[in-house]
Amino acid sequence: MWSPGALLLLVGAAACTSGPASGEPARDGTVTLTAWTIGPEPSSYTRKTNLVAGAERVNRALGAAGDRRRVALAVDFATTSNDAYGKKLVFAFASDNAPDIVCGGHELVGQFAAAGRLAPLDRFLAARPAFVADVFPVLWGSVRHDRRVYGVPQDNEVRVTYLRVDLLRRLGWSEAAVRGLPARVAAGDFTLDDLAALAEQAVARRVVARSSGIWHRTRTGFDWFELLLAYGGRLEDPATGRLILPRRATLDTLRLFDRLTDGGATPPGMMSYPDRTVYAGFVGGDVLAYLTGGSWHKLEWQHAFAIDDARFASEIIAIPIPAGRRGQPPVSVSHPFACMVNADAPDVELAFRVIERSLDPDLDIAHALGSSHLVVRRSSGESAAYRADPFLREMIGLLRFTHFAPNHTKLLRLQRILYDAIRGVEVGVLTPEEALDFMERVARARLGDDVVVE
Amino acid sequence: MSGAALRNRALLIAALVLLALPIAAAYLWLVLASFGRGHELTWGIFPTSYTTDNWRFLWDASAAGRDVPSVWLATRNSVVLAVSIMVLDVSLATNAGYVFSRWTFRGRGPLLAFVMVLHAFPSVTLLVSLFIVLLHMGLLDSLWGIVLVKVALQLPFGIFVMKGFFDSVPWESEMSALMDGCTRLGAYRRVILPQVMPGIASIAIFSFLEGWKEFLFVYAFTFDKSSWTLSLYLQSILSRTGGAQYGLLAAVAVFYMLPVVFFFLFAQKQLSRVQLGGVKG
Amino acid sequence: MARRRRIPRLRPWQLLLLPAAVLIALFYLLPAVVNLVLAFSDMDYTFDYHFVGGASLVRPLADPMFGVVLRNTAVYVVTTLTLMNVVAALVLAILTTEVPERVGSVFRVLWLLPRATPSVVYVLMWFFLLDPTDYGLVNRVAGSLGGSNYDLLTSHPWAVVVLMNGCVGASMGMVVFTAAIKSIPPQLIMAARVDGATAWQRIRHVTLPAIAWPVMFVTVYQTLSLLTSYEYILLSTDGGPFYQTEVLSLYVFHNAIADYELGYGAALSIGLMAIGTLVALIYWRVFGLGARSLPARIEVDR
Repeated sequence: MWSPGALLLLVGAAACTSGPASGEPARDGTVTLTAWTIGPEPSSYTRKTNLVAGAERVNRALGAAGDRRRVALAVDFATTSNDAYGKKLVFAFASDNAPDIVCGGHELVGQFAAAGRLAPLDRFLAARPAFVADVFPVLWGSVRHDRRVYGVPQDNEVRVTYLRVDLLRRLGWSEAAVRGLPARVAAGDFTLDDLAALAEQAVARRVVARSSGIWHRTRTGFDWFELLLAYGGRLEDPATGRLILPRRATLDTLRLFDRLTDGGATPPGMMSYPDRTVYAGFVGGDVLAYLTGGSWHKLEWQHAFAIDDARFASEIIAIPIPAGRRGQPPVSVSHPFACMVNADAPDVELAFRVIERSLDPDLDIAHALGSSHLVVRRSSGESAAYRADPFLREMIGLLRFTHFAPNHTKLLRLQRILYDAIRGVEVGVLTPEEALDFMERVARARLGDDVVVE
Repeated sequence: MSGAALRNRALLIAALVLLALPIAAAYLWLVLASFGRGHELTWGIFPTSYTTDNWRFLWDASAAGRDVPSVWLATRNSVVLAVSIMVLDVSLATNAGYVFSRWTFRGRGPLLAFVMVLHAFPSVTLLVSLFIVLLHMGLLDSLWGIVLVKVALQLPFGIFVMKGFFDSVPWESEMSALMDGCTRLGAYRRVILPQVMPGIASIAIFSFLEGWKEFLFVYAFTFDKSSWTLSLYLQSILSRTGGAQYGLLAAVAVFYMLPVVFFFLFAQKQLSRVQLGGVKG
Repeated sequence: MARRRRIPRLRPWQLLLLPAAVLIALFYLLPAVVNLVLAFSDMDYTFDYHFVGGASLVRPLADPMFGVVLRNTAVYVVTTLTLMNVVAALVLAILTTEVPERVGSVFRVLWLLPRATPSVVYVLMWFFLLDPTDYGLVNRVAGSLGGSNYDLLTSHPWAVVVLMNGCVGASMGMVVFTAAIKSIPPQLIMAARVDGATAWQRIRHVTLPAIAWPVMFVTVYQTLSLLTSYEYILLSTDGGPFYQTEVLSLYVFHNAIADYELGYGAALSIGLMAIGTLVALIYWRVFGLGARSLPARIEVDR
C-alpha cells in the first residue's frame, strides 16, 4: 500500500506542509484541542456551547485533583449542509487537518473508524460504568464498529409522520379519534395502507387539492429505508455485517408510492419540489400528511413560520411511521449525533473527558429542549424539566420502535438506489416490479458482495 | 435616420426585450424578496410587506447566523481570490496567446491542440486529484493554492481567445513599429496590446467571475472560517434553513452580485472605448 | 561558472510562454495524471491506494445505467450547444451590436447576470419561475389565463435543463462574438453602408465572415464545457426524474464525490476525457482548425 502522493514528490515543489502542530502538551500543561460540530439548524448551537462548558468542567476537575493539565478548546460550529460537512471531514482527515474532537452523524463512525482515523474509547468507558449505564442502551449500538466503541452519542431524534389535525377534523374525525391515533398506530391498527386511503379520501372529498394528500422529503437519505422496515424488511445481516436488500418489503414500498401517485394523493413530481414549497404546503395547511418527518422539524417549522407551541399542538400531530402490515408495530428511525476522538489527538483521554462532561444532565437537557432533540441520558429523560415538554416526552416514548442505519461503508450507495427506484415509480417511468428489478441489478453492479438480496 | 431604419431598430429592441423578459422577472423577484417580509406574494412577485431587516447582516454579523464570519471578511477574501485569478490569468494568457499567434517553434501545432483538449478534463474528478497535488505541495488551507489552480484551469480558454484576437491584428501595424526601431517585445507592448483590449476585457470578465463564484475548491481545500469567501457565506445560509429564510438569502445574493454588475459595466466600457479608438489598420 | 554558461538563454517567446506552461503542467496536467493513477485503484474516502488493475476501467461496461447516461450526455450537449450556446449567443451578439451601444450594453449585462449569479441562487430563481404550486410565476400566469398547474421540472426536464444551462452558456458566446464584431474595422462597415447594403446583407457578408473563427472556437470550447458541466443539473433535477437527465459528468459526481467511489469515478472520468478528446480532434479536422491556426502570422508575407 502506497500513497499516490509519493509520485507527486517528483514534482519537486517545496513540500513544506503547513498546518500548526496542534496540541502538543505545552510546558505549562495546556493541551490545545480543536473540535468541529454542525447544526446545520442554528438551534443546535448548544452542541458547541456544551462542549465548551464540558471543557470548563474538566479543567475544574483537573484543578481539584491536582493535575496540572488544562484543556484549551476551540470549537467550530458549521451550518453548511451535513453532506458538505461529511466531505470536508474526508478531506480534512486525508490531509491531517481534522479536528481532535469530531462530532456528526453516527455513520461517521462506520466511515472513519474503518479507516483507522478514530480512537477506540472502550477503556475509558470501562472505567465509567455509571455513565455507560445512564446512556440509553440502544444508542451505544449506533457508535460501535467491529465490536469496539468509537463515539459517544450526543443527542438523538426520531422520525415520524406528521398529520394536520385541522384537516382530520374536516374529514369528520372527533377530538377523541385524533388523540387516539398514536395509540392505534402503536398497536398496528392504523397502517400505511390506511394512511394512503385516508389521503385518497381527503382528495375525493376536496378537503385537500388533488396531489396534496401525502407529501414527503425530496432527496436521498436514510428516511426511505424506514418504509422497508415498516414492511418488515431488515437491512443488515448481523451475522455477516453485510447489507440486505429485502425483496418483499421493497416491492411493497414501491407499490405504496405507485398507489400514492396513481391515486392522486401524492404528485408524481414530488421529488423535484423545492424544500420551501414542501414545508410551506404542509405547515401552511394545504396538505394532509408529511410522511418523512423528524422530531427536529417541529422547532424548524415553528421558527420558519412563526408558530407557537399551542398552535402547533392544535394543528399538527406526530405519529411513528405506521406499520406496513396490520398488527405489526410501527417503526421509527433514529440518527443519533455522536462525538468521536481523532486517533491523532494529542490527549485522547482528555478529549474523551470533555465529551463526557458535555453530556452532564443539565447540558443534555438544555440542548434537547433548545433544539427539539431527544436526550441521551436516561436520568435526563426522567427529569421534570424534560418531561414538562409534552412533545419531547412523546418522542422519547417512540424510542421503543426505533431502528438505526447500519454502520456500513456502502450504505450511501444502496440509499441512492432505493431513492432512484422510488422516484422512477412516482413519475411513472417504472412499474414497481421493474423498479425492484432495477434495484437488484444496480445493487449487484455497484455493491457487489456487500449486499445480499433476500 | 430614415423611418425604415427607425422601425428596424424598434423591432430589434423589442426582440431583445422579449428575450430578456424571464431573466428580468427572476432578478426583479430576487431584489424584491430581499426587501420582503414573510412568504406571501401579490401579483406573483411583489412581497406583501417590506422591511430592511434582511440586510442587517451588513452591519450585524450575527444577523446571518451564529459563528458566521463578518460579511466584509468574506467579501475581502472573494475580492482577493477573484482579482488575483483575473490578473494572473489575463497576463499569462495574453502572453501565451501572443506567442501562439506570432511565433513559429517546434511543437506549436500539437501544443495548441493539446491546450484545447485539456478542457475536456472534467473538474469533477480533478477535485480529488487536485486535492492530492495541493496536499503534497503544501498549498492546502490557503487561497493561493486555489488561485493557482483556477488560473491553470482558465488558461486554455484565455490562450485561445487571445490567440484569435492577435491573429486579427494586421501584421503591418507590427511591421511599421519594427521599422521605427522597436524590438519585437516593444512592438508587442506598445502597438499590438492596445489593439486586443476587447479580448483582454472579455477574458478578464470570465476569469474574474470564475474566482468570484468558486465554491467547491474553497470549501474542500481550506479548513478555517477566516478563508471563507462570499460563496461559502451564502451556502451556509442556504442549507441551514431548508430554504425558509428567503429574505436573508435574497439579500446576501444581491449583495454578492452587485460588485459583478459594476465590474461588467466597467468592462463593457472597455469594450466600446476600444471600438472607437482602437483598430486603425 | 562553467556550469552557468551551459544554461541556455531563454528566447523571448519562451519567457512569455513559460509561466502559463508551468501552471498548466502543475495544476492541470499533473492532476490529470493523478486521476489516471486513481483509475487503477478502488480508492474510497480513506484515500488508501489499492492497485486493482483495470477492474474499475471495465466496470462501466457492466454498469446497467451507463448506456442511458451516455445517450443523455449526447442529447444534452448537442441541444444546449446548438440552441443556446451558439445560436442564441449569436443572435444576442448581433442584436446588441445592431442597436445603439447604450441599449446593447444594458441587455448584455442582463444576459451576463446568470453567469454572475451563484449557482444555488440561480437555481432558486428557476424554482421561483417553475414552482409546481401557485407560488411559481409560470403557474401564476398560466392560472390567470385559465390553465392548471404545470410541473415542468417533471414533465419536461430536458427543456428546463437546456434552458437553465443555456441562459448561462449563451453569455460566453455573446461576449466573445461581440468583441469580435467590435474588432471589425469600421471602414468595412462604412463601405458596406456606402454600397447600400441592407442590414441583413451587411450581417451576412461582413459580420458573419469576421466571426467565423470565434464561432468555431466557441463551438469547440462549449462542447467540452458542456461535456464536463453538471452543477446546474445537480441542483435542479439531480439527474431525474429517474435518470432522464443524468449525464456522464453528473454520474461521475454521483459516484466519485457523493458516494466516495474515487477509483470508479476516476475511471468514468477517463471515459469522459476520452470522449472529449475525440470530439475535440474531430472538430479540429472538420473545422480545419489546424490549417487555420497553424501558420504563425509573423511568417505570412503580406
